[in-house]
Amino acid sequence: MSIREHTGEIPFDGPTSGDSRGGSAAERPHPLRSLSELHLSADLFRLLVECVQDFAIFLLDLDGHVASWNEGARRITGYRSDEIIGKHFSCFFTRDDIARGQPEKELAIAKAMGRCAKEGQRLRKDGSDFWASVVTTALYDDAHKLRGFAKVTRDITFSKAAEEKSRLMVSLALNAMVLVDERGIITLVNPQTETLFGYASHELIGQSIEMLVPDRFKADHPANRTRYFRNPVVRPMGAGRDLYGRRSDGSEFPVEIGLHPLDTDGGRQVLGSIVDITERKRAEEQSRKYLAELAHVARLSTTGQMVSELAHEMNQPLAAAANYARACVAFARSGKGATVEQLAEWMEKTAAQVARTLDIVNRIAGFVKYEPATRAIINVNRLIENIVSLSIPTMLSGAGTTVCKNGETKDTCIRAILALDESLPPVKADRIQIEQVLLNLVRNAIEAMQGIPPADARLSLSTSKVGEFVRVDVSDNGKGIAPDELGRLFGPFFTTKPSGMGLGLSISRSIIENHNGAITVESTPGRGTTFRFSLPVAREREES
Amino acid sequence: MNREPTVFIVDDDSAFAESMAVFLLSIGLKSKCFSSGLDYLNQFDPEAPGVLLLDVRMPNISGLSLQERLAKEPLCVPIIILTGHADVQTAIRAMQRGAVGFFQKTLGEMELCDAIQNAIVEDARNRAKHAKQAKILALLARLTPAENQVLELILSGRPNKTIASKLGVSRRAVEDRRARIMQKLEVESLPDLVRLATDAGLRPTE
Repeated sequence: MSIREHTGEIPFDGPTSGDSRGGSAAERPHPLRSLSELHLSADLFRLLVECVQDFAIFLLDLDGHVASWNEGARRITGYRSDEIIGKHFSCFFTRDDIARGQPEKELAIAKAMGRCAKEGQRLRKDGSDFWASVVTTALYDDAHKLRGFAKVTRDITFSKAAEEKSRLMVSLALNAMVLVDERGIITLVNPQTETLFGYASHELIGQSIEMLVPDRFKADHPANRTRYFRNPVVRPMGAGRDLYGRRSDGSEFPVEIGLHPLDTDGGRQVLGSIVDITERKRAEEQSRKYLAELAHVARLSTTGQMVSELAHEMNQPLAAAANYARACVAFARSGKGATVEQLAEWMEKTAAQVARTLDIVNRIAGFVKYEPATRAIINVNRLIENIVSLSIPTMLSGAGTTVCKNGETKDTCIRAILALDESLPPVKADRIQIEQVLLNLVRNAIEAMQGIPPADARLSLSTSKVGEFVRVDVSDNGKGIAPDELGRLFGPFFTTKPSGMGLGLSISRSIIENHNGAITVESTPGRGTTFRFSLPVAREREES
Repeated sequence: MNREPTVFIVDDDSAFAESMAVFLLSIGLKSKCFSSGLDYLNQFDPEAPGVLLLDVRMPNISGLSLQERLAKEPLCVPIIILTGHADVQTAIRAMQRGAVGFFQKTLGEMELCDAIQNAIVEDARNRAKHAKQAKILALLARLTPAENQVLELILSGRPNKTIASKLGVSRRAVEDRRARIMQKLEVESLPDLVRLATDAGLRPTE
C-alpha cells in the first residue's frame, strides 16, 4: 500500500501493487512523513486501515514485534489486537519456516530492498494454516532511519486451492496440454504431453511449439499462430484439415487440437489441448474400407444383372469382325472376286470392330475392378456422363426400353435429359463409390418408369452448386413412392422389387454420408420421384 | 421368274449387316441390307427369291413381330433368325412361327452357310411348288360345276357306273365329262390326274 503525496488524497492501491515502492526510500517521500503533516488525514487513514477487512495490515517494530493491528488481521489470523500486539511476528510461521529463519529473512530483504513480497504457509491463532500473500515494506522516518515494517497480508488459500485444482486437472487430463505464449514459446506442458510426444517437460518448456509440428507443416505454422493470436477464440485448430503431431523420434501421428486463449501473468497465451486420434483414424479407415468392399459387391451384383445385356453389346462387333475376317480369308484363298483395296478396307473394318469390343471390355473391367477406397478430386459431371454412356442403352433394354441421350428420338427410348452445370466445382470423393450411387439412382429411376410409355418417360440428371456443396438431382416421372415407404427407403433390405436385395439405397446413403454429404428423396405418387444428394466442394488446398 | 436369289439382311447394327454382306459375297452370295423391319416391309417383293437373315432385338419392329407379319404373306422367303443374344424362349417362339434356323452371331460359320444354302434351295423348291399350284388352280378354274362333281367322285375312287347312278345320269354322260376333264386339265391318265389333284391340295371328300 502506498499513499501518493501529490494527490493529497488517500488512494488505496492494494497490497500486491509493488510498483510504488520500487525505488529507494531516499528517492521517494515517506508516506508516514506525509501523514504526520496531515493530522486530519492521519486519523482518517488509521480508521481506514483499521476497518479494512480483507487484508491484514499491521506494523512491526525493528525487531519484528507486532505494533498495530486491524480488523482484517483479526479475521485472517484469529488474534485480537490485545492478544498479539507486542508479540513477535514469527508466531505466524510454521516451525519449519522458523527453523529455516524465514521471518528474519523477510525483514532482512525488506530492509535491503525496501520491500519483500512472499507467498507461503502461515499459521492462525488456533494452529490451523492458511496460504498467505505477504508484502513487507520497510518504514523510514524523516531522517531516513529505519523505524519498522508495514505488513500487508492476504489469505489466498482459496485461489491457491483453485490454482492447485486446475494444475491438477491439467496434469491429470487425458489430453496433452500445452501452454504457448505469443512468440510461440512453450511455457507449460502436462505429463501427457511428455508421453505423447516423447519429450521430457524440460526439453519442451522454453522451446518453440513448432518442434511438435511435422516438417511439412512447419513453414505455415507461425503465420497461422500469429493469425490466431490476433483473434483468439475457443475453437478447434485447422477445422476440416488433417493435423499431425511430430514425436521426438520424428514419427508423426494424427491429432485433434482444441485452442483456448488464456490471459496470464505472462501476457496472452494459448492453451492447446491435443488428442491422439490414431485409433479413431484407424477405425474410420476400417469402416471406409468395409464400405468400399460393400460398394464393390453391390457393383458386382449390378453388373451381374447387366451381364447378359453387356454380352449382347459385345457380340455385335465381334460377329462383325469375324464376318469381315472370314470374307477376307475366303477372297484371299480364291484369289479372285475382290480387289486388294477392298480387302484392306475390310481388314480395317475388322480392326475397328475389334476396337469397339475392346472399348466395351475396358469399360466393364474399369467398372467392376476393385479399387481400394481412394479420394481424389473429381468432377461429378464427368461421372454422370460415364454412367449414362455405360448403363445406357444396355441397362434395361431387355425390358423393351432403351434410353437415349439428349437429341436422339427413337420411339422406344426413354429420354435422358442432362442439365449439368459446367462451372461445377470439383469434389474430393471416391469415384467408384459415387458412380455406384449414380448407377443405383439411375436404375431405380428407369425401373420406376416401366409402367409408362417410353415416349413419355423422362429421366433427368442435373448438377448445381448450392452453398459449399455440389448438388445432384436424379428425377423420374414414374410411379412415385408411397409416403409410408419414403421413411424406410434408405434402410437396409427395404425393397419393392421382386429381385431386389434392398441394399442399393442403403449403401448409397452410407457412401454419401461417408463423404460428409447428404441424400434425400422427394416423391409424389403417380407423378415421379427425385433423389438428391450433395457432396462438399473440394477445398482449394486439396485441389493441388 | 428365273431371278438370282438374294440374302436379305435385316439388322439395326449397320456395321454388322455390312460385314455379313461382305462375308456372303465371299461365298458367292448376293445380299441386301435393311436397317429395320419397317425398311424391309416397305421394299418387300414377294417375287424376290432368297432367304431372310433377321436380327431379333431391334427398335420399332422386333425380329419376331416382323416374322409374324410376313407369315400372313402368301409367298415369302424362309427366315433364319440371327441374334447376338440367344435365349431359349426366343428360339422356341421363332421356330414355332416357322423360322428355318436360329443362330447366334459369331457362332457356327459353316452351319450358318449351310442353313443359308439350304434355305435358298428350299425357297426355290417352294417357289416352284407355288408356281405349279398356281398353274393347276388356273386349270381347275376351267371346269364346269358338273365336271367338278364328277372329278370329286373320280378322286374318291368311284367307278363310272357308281358315279352315273349317284348323279342320276347315263354312264355315257359320265364318260364324256371325264374325257373333258382330262382334256381341260391337260393329263393323259388317271394316275396323272390323281397326282395333279394332290399337288393342288385337293382331297377326296369321302
